Amino acid sequence: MKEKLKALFIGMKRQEAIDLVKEELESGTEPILILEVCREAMAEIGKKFETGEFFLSELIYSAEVFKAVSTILEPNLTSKRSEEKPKAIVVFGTPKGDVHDLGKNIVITMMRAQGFTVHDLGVDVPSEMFIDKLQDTGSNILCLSALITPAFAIMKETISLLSEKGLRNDTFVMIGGGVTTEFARKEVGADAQTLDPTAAIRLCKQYIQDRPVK
Amino acid sequence: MLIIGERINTSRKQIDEAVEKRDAAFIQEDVKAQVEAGAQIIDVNSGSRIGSELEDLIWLIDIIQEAVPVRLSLDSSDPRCLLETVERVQEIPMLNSTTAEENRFEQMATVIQKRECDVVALCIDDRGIPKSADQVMENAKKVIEDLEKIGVNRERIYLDPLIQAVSTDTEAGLTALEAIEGIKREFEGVNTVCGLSNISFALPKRPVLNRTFLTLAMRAGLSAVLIDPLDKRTMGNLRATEVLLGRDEYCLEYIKAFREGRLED
Repeated sequence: MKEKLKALFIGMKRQEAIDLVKEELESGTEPILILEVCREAMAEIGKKFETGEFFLSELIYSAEVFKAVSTILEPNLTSKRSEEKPKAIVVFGTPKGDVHDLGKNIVITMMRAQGFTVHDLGVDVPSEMFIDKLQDTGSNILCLSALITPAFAIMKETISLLSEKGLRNDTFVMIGGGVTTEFARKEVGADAQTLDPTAAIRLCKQYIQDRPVK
Repeated sequence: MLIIGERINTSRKQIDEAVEKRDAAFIQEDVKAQVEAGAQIIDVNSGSRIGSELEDLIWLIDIIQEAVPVRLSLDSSDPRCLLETVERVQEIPMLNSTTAEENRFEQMATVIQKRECDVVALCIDDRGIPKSADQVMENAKKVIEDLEKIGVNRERIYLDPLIQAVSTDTEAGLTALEAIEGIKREFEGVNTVCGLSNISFALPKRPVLNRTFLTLAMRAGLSAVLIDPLDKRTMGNLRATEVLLGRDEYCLEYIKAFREGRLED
C-alpha cells in the first residue's frame, strides 16, 4: 500500500490516490498509517520541488490531493488525534501592506502535512495581531511572508514589538517570500530567511530540536 | 504599441551592482541600448534597495537624463519616493503606480497633481487581489473615476489588470485577456499596460509563455508593455504581432528590425 499510494501522489494521480485511500480505509487499515504515508509523499514532493525537479503547480496540485485525502481520513482520526502532539505550533501571516498569499498558503499546507499546527492570520496583518496570536496560542514560531518591499517595515515593527513584550528570545522568527533576502533578514532582525517550503519546515524542526516546545 | 523598457531595475544583479558602485556609464549605456531597440519610455526602479531607494532613484534619474533624452517611468510602491522625484524628471513622467486602495490613492493623488503625467493604475482595491475579470473591471471603473476627479485625462491613464501566474490558477491567462478586452470595450480612451513575467511565474521555459502571452494580449487590445527591448525573441514576437494585426504598414518596422539584427527565430 505504502509504495503504491506514494507513487500515485508523486505521479499526480489525484482520483486514483483518493480511491486507494478509501479502499484502504474500508479494508481496515489504520487511518493514522495512511496519513503517515501521505505525509511522506508530500515530504518527497517537497524535496523534489526544492531541487527544481517539480514545479509549483505540481506542488499545489499535490497539496490539493493531500487536503482531499485528509478530509476523508479526518473523521476516522479524531479519537487518535488528541493523543498526537503537534510537531510544532506556528503563527503565519503576510504583514500589513502586502496582500500576496500564494507562497504562504503553500508553505502552510506543507507544514500541516508534516503535522505542524499552523495559525494562518491571512494577509495585510498588523504587527499587534501577530503578537496577540503568539501569546494566545503559546507558539514559539513566527513566519512572515512577503512579496513586496513595503512589508519589511511591518516585519521590523513586529520584531521590535516582540522585544518590547519580552518575547523575542523565546520566538523563532522566519521570513520568506520572493522579495526577502539574507540582507533583508538582517535588516528586519529575523532569525532565518528562506524562499523554499522544505527549507522552512527543516528550519522549524531544527529550532524545535535545539530548543524544545514548552 | 507603447514600449516601456524595464531593464533599469535594481532587482537585476548587474543593475544593482552598477547602482551600488555608482557606475553611471553602465546605466547610461543600457538606457541608450534600450532606446535604440525601440523603447519609448524607460522604467526606473530601485525598490529592492531597502533603505536607499530614494537616493538611488534620484541618482538614476539624474544620470540618465544627463546622457539620454527619453521619457521616464518612475516605478515605486512608496508614494514618498515618487513625491520627491516627480518634479526632477524633464519630460512628462509616467508614475508607476497607484491603486484603487484608499490609503495608497490618497497619497498618490498628491504626487499626481504636482504636474501633468501618465499614471499607471493597478486594478486592485482594498478587497485585495482581484479574483475575476469582473472584479478587475470594477476596480478599473473606480480608479478611472478617482483619477478623472483629480484632473487626469483618460488618455494619460494606463490600467494594469494585475496578471496572475497561470501555474497557480489555470484561468489566469484567460482572466487577464478578458480584463484587457473589457477595459478596451468599456472605457474608451483609457490605456492598458502590463509586464510579461507574472504569467509564467514558477514554470519552466518562461520566455515561451511570456512571448505567447504578449501576442494574445496585443490581440486583446493591450496598449503598452513593460518589456526587455534587448530580448530579441520577445521583441521579434512583438514586431511580428504588429505586422499580423495590420499595424505595420508595408511591414516597414519589421524589416527595419530585421536589418538592425533585432530579430531571432
